[in-house]
Amino acid sequence: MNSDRFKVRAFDTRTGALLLFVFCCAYTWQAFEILQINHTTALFTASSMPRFLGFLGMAVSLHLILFPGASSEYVAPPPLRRWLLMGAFLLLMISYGFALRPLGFMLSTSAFLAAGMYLLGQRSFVAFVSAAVIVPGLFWLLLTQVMGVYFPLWPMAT
Amino acid sequence: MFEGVSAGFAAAFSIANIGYLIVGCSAGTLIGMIPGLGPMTAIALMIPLASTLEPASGIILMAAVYYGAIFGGSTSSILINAPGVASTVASSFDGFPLSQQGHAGKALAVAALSSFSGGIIAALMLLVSAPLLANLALSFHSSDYFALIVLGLVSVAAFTGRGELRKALLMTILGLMLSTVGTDQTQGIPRFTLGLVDLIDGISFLLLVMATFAISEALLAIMDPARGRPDQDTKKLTSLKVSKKELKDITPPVLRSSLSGFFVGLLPGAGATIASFLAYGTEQRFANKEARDQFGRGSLRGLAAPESANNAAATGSFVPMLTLGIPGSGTTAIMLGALIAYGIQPGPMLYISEPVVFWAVIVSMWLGNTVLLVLNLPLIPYIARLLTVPRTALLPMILFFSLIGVYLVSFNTFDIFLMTLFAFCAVLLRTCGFPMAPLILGFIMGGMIEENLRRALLLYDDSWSFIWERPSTGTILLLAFAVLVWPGVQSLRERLKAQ
Repeated sequence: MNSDRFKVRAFDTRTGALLLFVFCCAYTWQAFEILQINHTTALFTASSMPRFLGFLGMAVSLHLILFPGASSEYVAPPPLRRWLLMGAFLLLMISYGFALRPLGFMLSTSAFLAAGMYLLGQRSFVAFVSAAVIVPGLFWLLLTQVMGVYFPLWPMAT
Repeated sequence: MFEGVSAGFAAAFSIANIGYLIVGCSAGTLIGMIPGLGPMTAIALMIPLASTLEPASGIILMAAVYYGAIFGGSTSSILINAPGVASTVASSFDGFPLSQQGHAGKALAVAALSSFSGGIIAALMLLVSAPLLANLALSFHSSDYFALIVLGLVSVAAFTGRGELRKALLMTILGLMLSTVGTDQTQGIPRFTLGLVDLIDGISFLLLVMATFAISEALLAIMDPARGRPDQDTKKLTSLKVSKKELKDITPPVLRSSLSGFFVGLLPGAGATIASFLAYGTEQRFANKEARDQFGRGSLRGLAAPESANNAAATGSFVPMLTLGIPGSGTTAIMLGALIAYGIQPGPMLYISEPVVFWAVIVSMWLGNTVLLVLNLPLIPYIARLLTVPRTALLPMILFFSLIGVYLVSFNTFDIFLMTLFAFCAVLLRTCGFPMAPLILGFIMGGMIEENLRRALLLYDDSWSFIWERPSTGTILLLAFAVLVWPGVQSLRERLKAQ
């Protein structure tokens, strides 16, 4: 089930536990902000489970920070340029979200795929055309003609 | 019951559903073959397509993708020693040596035959055991369900591996936390919406699965180019023929491993990985000295045992999902989420309220295994070419299909931004060794655990007395506690022994 056991483990357990501890703290704080129905006498309200989960999460993550255990093997983290490359892909995904409506499916998808391939070092013109033009075109045809999903190919007039 | 079975047969044998079965098996094989992309990713990628179909067709498609992905994982294990999923790691112990000795075709044929037998035997057992368990489950109260869900969540965390219990537990809690985002089902109070209208309905299950599996896997592959890269070029396939003597030799291990695999699959959290390793170890012990020495060097028994066990376990894991509505693994958790999205609540009433869906899924398992044997095996040489598709094209396409798959459900660009955020967090957590499957399981079970606990408390006048007043609830909770503390007790015993 945990396939990552066989693969890269860049940081130690503590880093992940610390991130989750911060999240659990913010979650617990928000759990106390949940509105309560006035004059309710019920033991179990909308904030009961979130509060319990928040404290439980804080306790488990704190335990992991203090006692990370022997399983946390240290493997050198990927070099900075690889993190930057992943960051570039995250930006690309956000840009795709912004471009999808104003540019339409075809232009935005072709640009997304071409930029992704370029970032990964692809320079072949044939590969660009087949992956960035033919694939989205076929996908759009499948979507609209076979599955009957309406999806505008080009930018819609506002 | 017989009416339901015949309706299920009729639905499964319809031309459209057989078509979806073939598409699902082929797509699953293709995706499962790509190292790193396991059945969970394969099913997640198929959900947008399945959601446009009738419930029975959609679930048949996803079940076919599941088998196909396991079969595909075995193929890459045997051909290039790159197991697509953890459950096919044991298959590579003898499959890859066979491939290196020039018997790649035979190894694939034995894997396909063993998977087929495992799947068929387990589906037969599912046919018998599912209604029995469903009838038993009809007597369950909310408190029993609450206890069962706790047991399921704890078991999945406990089975993740040595030293990983707390990490898996923390991820389960995180999944439960994410499930509380949105409007509270009973009181109608918004929770953790941060004032955003897009979060009023909560976080989409599909969005979370895509972000934490498909997208994070692609991003990890971008960060680490060696991730899942084959050790060697794809081997040239030789004859697929298996002799009568070889067939006779692998029959007992296949039967034993199918049975053990099915029962391991029934246990929440155990799943196909444990089943395959258990079967491999058992067969090694059963073998005589000469045969035992062959294990790890290209033994057909060593390949047949894990192959039949992992397929049988995959089938077995459907039993708790279909009859109790409690998934025993990350994969069945995703399928459960898809069923709920259809408005179908799996549980003991499923085979009464939705007999066509229930029986069609079971019947489709036989058909699916037949399709894998008859269609996919001869196509393996062609399917294996997918492994040669450059990653420079494959990774952006995985990202594209994941993003557009979620966008097509809601047509809301907010989902794309939220997916990006979740994918980034998933990458950070995965590089720290935190597993994602417990998160999905927690997310799926979050609503159910809260609802059942609330109902149990209401029934018992806001008192926790149901824990000791209902023996079944108390027993299941005690069992959950035992499962939770068992790894700690074991390690303490080992430490004391070492001293």
